[in-house]
Amino acid sequence: MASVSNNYYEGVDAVSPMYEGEEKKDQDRAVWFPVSQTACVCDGVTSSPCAEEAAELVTKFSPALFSGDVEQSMKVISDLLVVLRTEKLHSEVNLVANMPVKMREILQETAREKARYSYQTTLVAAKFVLEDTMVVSSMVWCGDSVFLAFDSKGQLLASSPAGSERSKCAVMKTNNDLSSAKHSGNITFGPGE
Amino acid sequence: MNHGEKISRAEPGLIVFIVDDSGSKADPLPGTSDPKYQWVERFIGVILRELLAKSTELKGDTAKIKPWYYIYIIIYGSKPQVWAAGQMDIQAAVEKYADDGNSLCLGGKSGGTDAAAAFQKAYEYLKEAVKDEHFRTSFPPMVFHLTDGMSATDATPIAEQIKQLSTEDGNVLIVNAYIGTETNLNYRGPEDFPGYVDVSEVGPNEDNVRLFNMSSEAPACIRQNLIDDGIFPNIRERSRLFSDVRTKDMLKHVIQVVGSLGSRAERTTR
Repeated sequence: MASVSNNYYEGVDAVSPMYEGEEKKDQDRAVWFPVSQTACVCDGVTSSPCAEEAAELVTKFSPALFSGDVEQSMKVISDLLVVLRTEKLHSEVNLVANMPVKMREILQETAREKARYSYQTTLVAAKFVLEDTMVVSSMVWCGDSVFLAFDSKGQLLASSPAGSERSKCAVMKTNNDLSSAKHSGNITFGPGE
Repeated sequence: MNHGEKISRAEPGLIVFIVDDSGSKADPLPGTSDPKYQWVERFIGVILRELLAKSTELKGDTAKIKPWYYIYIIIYGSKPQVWAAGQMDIQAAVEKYADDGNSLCLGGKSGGTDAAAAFQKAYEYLKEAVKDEHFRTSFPPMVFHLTDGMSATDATPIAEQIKQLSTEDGNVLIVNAYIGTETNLNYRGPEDFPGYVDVSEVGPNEDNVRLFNMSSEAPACIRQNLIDDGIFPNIRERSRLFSDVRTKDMLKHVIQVVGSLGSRAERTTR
């Protein structure tokens, strides 16, 4: 969440976890970078191992998305997540002691299968530039996270571009699939709109 | 009472298999040279592994199994027998299955077919299980009955009693799968199986009608899970949890119906 002050945005960071009964979920990240005036929300995919690491990495990387070629930057972070996934696929998994040999084999195989879907998160990131009465925003999103801008009365000013595809495909999926990634041109909004 | 609970460690799922192991199970499955009981064992093994995978959490470099599912298997011919230690969590069930050479020790050697006695056994177990603190608030148990028909006894009355049992989330569900029967429904395989909605679709065969009538209507979340998982992507609303099994592919998908247990209402909310 961010609000405008002295022609400058101020932001609030939010970090999970949340609890559902005994189950802890801690894979959501929301970060505001005041100097670069960028914001990012990553929503790690629950069923994906290491989703919290993915969300953490992508949010930290997000200001770099706007410093050059966006598609190239997206590919860099995606490649990193794929490398981490590959490492995970080839790493031994720790199991409880005294587990029978057959069960260990089954669980190692199960863990490898799950690792194929590791490091998945959605992403929505935006960079803001304040002009006299307008805000110019550039944004990147992938998966089903969205960007919404409201005025102080709660009126919606802008959102991820109309007709945006709210794909269920998470960012950085298997095989570097960035097909659902979107990058907007500049979007403007502000008082009076 | 709306079949809306998710499966979790606090509210685990309970699956009761009732597996017909009568003499005819030694006959080959249509289109294959292996006996029906071997295919049943293989595909039950597949679903046990899938349930284990769902219950396994990978955190960092550590894999941990959470007891999200409990299994109870009744094998019957002329007499019902409970497999292994009775109620087992998914880890214990997979271990036992693996220790027995990936087998449930079926063999089509259990004589005749007394389905009513097997359902009675299930009822005796379930009437206590639904009150157990493990399952009292869980998504209701699923009873999965797999047969190649021709039971000497009618399990309908006891099946009705089972369907009246409930957890706080709804009534126990009964699924019936009938290997090798013929029906009036025209479909090629799991990919276009529309499910049976009306008794006229199952044809005049008395066993078909009996098993159709015994079967629960699929709750909305089960139907959605079957579609989402690609088990039966074209299953219709209000379909009964009844399937005929014409091929080994259909048998695999039918057994995977047990993996649809539980609501996944928050799946897209992450």
